Amino acid sequence: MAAPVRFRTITIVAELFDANCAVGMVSRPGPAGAFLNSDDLAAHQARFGIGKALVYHSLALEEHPAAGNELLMQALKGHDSLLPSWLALPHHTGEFPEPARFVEELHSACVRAVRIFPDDQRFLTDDWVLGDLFAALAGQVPLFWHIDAFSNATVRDLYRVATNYPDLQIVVCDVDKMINRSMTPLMREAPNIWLETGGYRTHRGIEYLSNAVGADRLVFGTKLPWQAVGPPHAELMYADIDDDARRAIGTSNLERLLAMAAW
Amino acid sequence: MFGHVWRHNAPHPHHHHPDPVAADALAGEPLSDFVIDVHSHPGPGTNFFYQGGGAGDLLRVMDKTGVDYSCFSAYTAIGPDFVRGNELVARAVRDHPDRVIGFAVPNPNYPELAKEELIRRVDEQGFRGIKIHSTCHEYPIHGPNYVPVYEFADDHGLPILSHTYDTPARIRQLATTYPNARFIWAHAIWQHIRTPDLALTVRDLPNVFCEMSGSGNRRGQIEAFVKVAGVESAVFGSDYPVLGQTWQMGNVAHADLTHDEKRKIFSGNIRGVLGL
Repeated sequence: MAAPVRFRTITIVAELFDANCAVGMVSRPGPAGAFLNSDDLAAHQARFGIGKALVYHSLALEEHPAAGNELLMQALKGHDSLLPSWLALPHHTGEFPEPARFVEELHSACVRAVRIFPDDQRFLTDDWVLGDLFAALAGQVPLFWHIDAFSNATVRDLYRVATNYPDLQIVVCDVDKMINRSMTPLMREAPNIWLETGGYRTHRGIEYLSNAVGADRLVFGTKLPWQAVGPPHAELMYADIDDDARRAIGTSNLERLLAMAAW
Repeated sequence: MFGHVWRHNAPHPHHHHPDPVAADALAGEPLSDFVIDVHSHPGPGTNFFYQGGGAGDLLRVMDKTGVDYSCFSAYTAIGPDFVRGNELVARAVRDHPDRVIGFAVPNPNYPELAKEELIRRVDEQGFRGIKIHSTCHEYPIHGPNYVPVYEFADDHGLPILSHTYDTPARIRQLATTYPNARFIWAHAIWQHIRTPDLALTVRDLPNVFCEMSGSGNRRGQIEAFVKVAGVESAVFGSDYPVLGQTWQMGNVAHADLTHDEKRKIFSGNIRGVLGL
């Protein structure tokens, strides 16, 4: 006879808010695959007490933002807890709307977050490429800036944009573990820089940055579907910070950030 | 801890969880199972900054995560000065024999000194394993200066934790040449994504274990490895503080595996090898 299952009663952590996840098929999923629909994504997140998520569509990254952003709105229909975020490109090639028009579209669709992937989608973030977009988004919508590597050049780009556009809230996403030596002064110099923790696997990193720059600019993320939720979840849950700080990073900082959108 | 005080908006504030390990991790509480971290490197980082990193810091983290024992090899030992690093670990073993297991590092670029170090640390100071890092020391794992290391491990029945495994064929060759040694290939479950024949190789080698720490914690990778290699081939290690112990622990605790399988990964598979 099989041994009886020992059930433990625990308190589920309420309502984490995931700042970095994607729905849709991806070219290189892990062995557990991708989330082909919003139901599956939300169900998986619920296992970890993630009750809300700021989502983008994988095809916006891996095919084209024009296709992916539209697919996202279809995929999220009926899911009030999954909030849309759109990817943006430079407009100069005619493949993407001019910034003013793009902001109108964001407003019309009530999308309150924009993402850029300059490394993956191969564009510079200099003013002569993206300055119009930064100016249009400043004070209107937060920008989630996904990086491939926290290189010295990328840090300089972040510093330049953050200081040139002080009303633009910039969330640095997909960082790795080796960021503290530049991220600490960057966040101190630029109060409009935030950090998404989905890739921040640095030993005691959340605790360190909470003390160094404040817990109010860290937002919890998972990097689903590519990454397992367990590691970033444990990093937040075991961080040696008080419960107010944990709640802020886990939920309320992202709520506050999205509330800064102009609509 | 945190999970017991943060209840606002929880649709189901109490949840019956069938897996105690996942339940502990979900609540941010120390794991109640016996846990051994086979891979840790106390010491400051040269190429990046992390808070803490010393032996005392790791012991504090272990208390939070519920890790009972960590296998120490010093960061500086896999870097510039293996003698100084081994001495740091010897001190930690002396101070915390109930939490710390010493792994001696031989730098093959100093073959005579490496041999002396193994004898001193293992035979005289009670170290229970060997750590090699052929990448940091820029010396191939099949090079002649590693032969005395493998022979020493084979003679003493010791585990060798290696950062690099070269190829699955090399793993088989070493495992069969030195059957009394126990090879723990660090980061190998992460690497399994790129070399799926690794799992097929190690499943038939009882003296080979693959450790799961890594930067690319892709969803389902531990489960995929276990499915092919068998859970007996997998062990938990964190690579602390290069990688966070809590981060890596969360990867195993929340994996889609049974509680019994997690128990084996967290300690059951390696406990006997370490004499615990």
